[in-house]
Amino acid sequence: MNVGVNHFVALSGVLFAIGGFGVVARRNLIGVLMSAQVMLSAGVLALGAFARFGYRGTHPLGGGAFALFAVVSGLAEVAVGASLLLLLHRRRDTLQADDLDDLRG
Amino acid sequence: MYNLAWAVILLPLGGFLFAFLPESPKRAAQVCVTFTGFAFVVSLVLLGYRLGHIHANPYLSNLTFWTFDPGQRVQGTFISDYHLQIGVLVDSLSVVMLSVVSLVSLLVQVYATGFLRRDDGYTRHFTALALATFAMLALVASTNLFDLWIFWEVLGAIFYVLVGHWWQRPEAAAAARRMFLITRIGDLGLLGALVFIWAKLSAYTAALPFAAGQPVNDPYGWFTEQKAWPALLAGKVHGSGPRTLIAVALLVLLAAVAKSALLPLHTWLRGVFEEAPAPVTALLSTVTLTAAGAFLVARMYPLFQAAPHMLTVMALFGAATAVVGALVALAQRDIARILSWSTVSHLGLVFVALGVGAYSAAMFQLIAHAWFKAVLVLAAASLVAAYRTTDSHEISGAWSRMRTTSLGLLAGAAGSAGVVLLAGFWSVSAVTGGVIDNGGRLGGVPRALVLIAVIATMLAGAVYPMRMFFRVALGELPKRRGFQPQRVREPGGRMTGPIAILAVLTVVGGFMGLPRVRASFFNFVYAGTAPQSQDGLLAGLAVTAVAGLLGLAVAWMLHTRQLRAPHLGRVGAAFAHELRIDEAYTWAVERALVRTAPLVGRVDHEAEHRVFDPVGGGVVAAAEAGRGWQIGRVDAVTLSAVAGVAVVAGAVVLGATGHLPWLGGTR
Repeated sequence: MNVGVNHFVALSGVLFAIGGFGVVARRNLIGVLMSAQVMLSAGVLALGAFARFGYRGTHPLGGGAFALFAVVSGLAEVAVGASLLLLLHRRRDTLQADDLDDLRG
Repeated sequence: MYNLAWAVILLPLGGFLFAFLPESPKRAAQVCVTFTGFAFVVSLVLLGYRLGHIHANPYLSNLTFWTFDPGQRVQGTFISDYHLQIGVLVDSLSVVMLSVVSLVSLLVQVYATGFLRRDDGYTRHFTALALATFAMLALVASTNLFDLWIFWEVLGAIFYVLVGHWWQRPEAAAAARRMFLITRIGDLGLLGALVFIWAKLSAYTAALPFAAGQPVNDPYGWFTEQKAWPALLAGKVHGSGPRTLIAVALLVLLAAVAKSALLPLHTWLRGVFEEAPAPVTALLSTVTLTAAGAFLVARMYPLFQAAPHMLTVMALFGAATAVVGALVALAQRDIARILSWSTVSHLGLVFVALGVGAYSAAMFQLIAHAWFKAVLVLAAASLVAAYRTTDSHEISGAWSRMRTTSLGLLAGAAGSAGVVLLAGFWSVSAVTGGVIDNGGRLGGVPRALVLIAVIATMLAGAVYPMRMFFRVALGELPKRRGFQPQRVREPGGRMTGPIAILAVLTVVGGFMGLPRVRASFFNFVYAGTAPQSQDGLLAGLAVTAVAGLLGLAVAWMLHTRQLRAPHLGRVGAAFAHELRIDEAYTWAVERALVRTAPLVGRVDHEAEHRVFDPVGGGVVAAAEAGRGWQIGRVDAVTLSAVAGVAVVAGAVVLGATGHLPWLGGTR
């Protein structure tokens, strides 16, 4: 089988959907955070694929560089998100999304 | 060498900045004076160098700050980037002005160290004086109209601070406000001219071949404009012609009229003379604010030469201002008012000279006026401080008690009156010669009117300063109640020194008008190509000499009561009340506001009740209704966010692939 850009994009789409489902369906906030990372990785994968195979004359390094930025900002997001969750756990002693409904109208 | 101009301009700015370092106000003043002094020395070096290289081209040094691309396409490519530049232009006019401005500013600051020594706002005053000097120097040396506009505004703003120095007095605050607001009218004209020039000239200048160092598209540059106006007049620019020139010239003239306190926008000047500290008045009325207006016209002179009829309009404006100013000054007895109207009158003469094509005579008059008006204002301020009144009828006997100051006042008054061989004589005679010759620029009737106005100005203008001098200097000390004769004594050297120097300049400063020097000075200052009006005419000299001596005699006879001033009834009262122009403005503005304010209030009230209240109520109701949707759980928020993203992404994808024809995509 000849692996082309379509396969990568399809894989990226599947990963994105799995991550999106996780973000919506998981009740545990750590799971939500992990699912968001999966979504981000899906985007990075698509960027890398387009960088590798090219898309309508874009600069070949552009996708790679952009993917690198996305990875770094993903790491930053994990750092911030994890510390927020840690503080939340200290205060409320829970990480279940159902329990956090202070913003009800 | 010419890069020294940067030093001249930046030194007063340095004085302004470094004056904040020392703790004591006295040191701050010393810093400002020192920096301005260095600026003057450097400007003298520059002037000497330029005099040695008269025929050299003007020197241009630009700092490009950023590139502004208005997005004009010419034949499909972007070519017209406008580099906003701050620069110095060193030509003969700017070099002369740099020296004059820095010298007068230096002397005024030295005077101020004595005049304001017990004042609370000492540091503020000196830093503001330094900043005003910087703004004027930068304005003088600016390379294009845009920069000039920036420093023009800076100048107006900083003089608002300076004029309102004693802002605790409501009158002083009102005078500052009035000055600022009325000169704003002129600023509006200048801004309009900028917009107009950009709209009409940028396409034309973009196509010009540009010199090295010049921006590609600089419609505001003086040298671009020199080429541009004749081309515009000849109809070589699409969509513009003589009317464009007239519009731009009128806007520039409006700016100059407001800034130079010409009729009918002169009403702010009296408040300045009455309420501002004397050093501020001296600086403002000689080399900075009022000179800026005349300088603007001088810089834009190619425009006025090209625009039809504009020189005539300018000459008539100037002549009306000059004669009205001189006649009103004749009817005043308050020193501040006499001096303010004298300034109006002499600035009118500057515009007369510009209008009749005697460009260099105008600059000469501007410079000579700087000497004699500065010494008049400073000497009068010393007298007013000693006698504690501005009424010239209550001041007398100054000659015996304050000799140096009185000598300064005499030099200023005689110079202003055009007494033979003093600075004012040479400059006014150059203006008169220009009017008589006028190079065929003015038609018969305007020329006759201008000539009559100038002669009347000279006659009246010779009487009032000398009469004021005789009145305050001669006779015995006044014997009114509460008068303290021991206060009438010569102030210290910091105040008499500048007066003495300016008095000497008033006496010898006319050397530029001597027959031999005149030709070289006048050619030095003038950069244009069209020939100037003849201004060294014997007729001009004769008329001025006769008018000056006649005025001197009349003033003496009025003082010794050999001649009684005629009683003019209502006409005289009108002139004594300054033609009530100021009152008319106040009345009109108040009337207009009092009439329209309730209307505006009602519109506001109605709009609030009919439009804004229902809208606000709707928002509140909608918010109340929408509260129930907010269940506040994290997973619900994420779900709705993902759903929203999915809808938008789906729409984008479907639109881009052409499934949603109303979105405009293609398959």
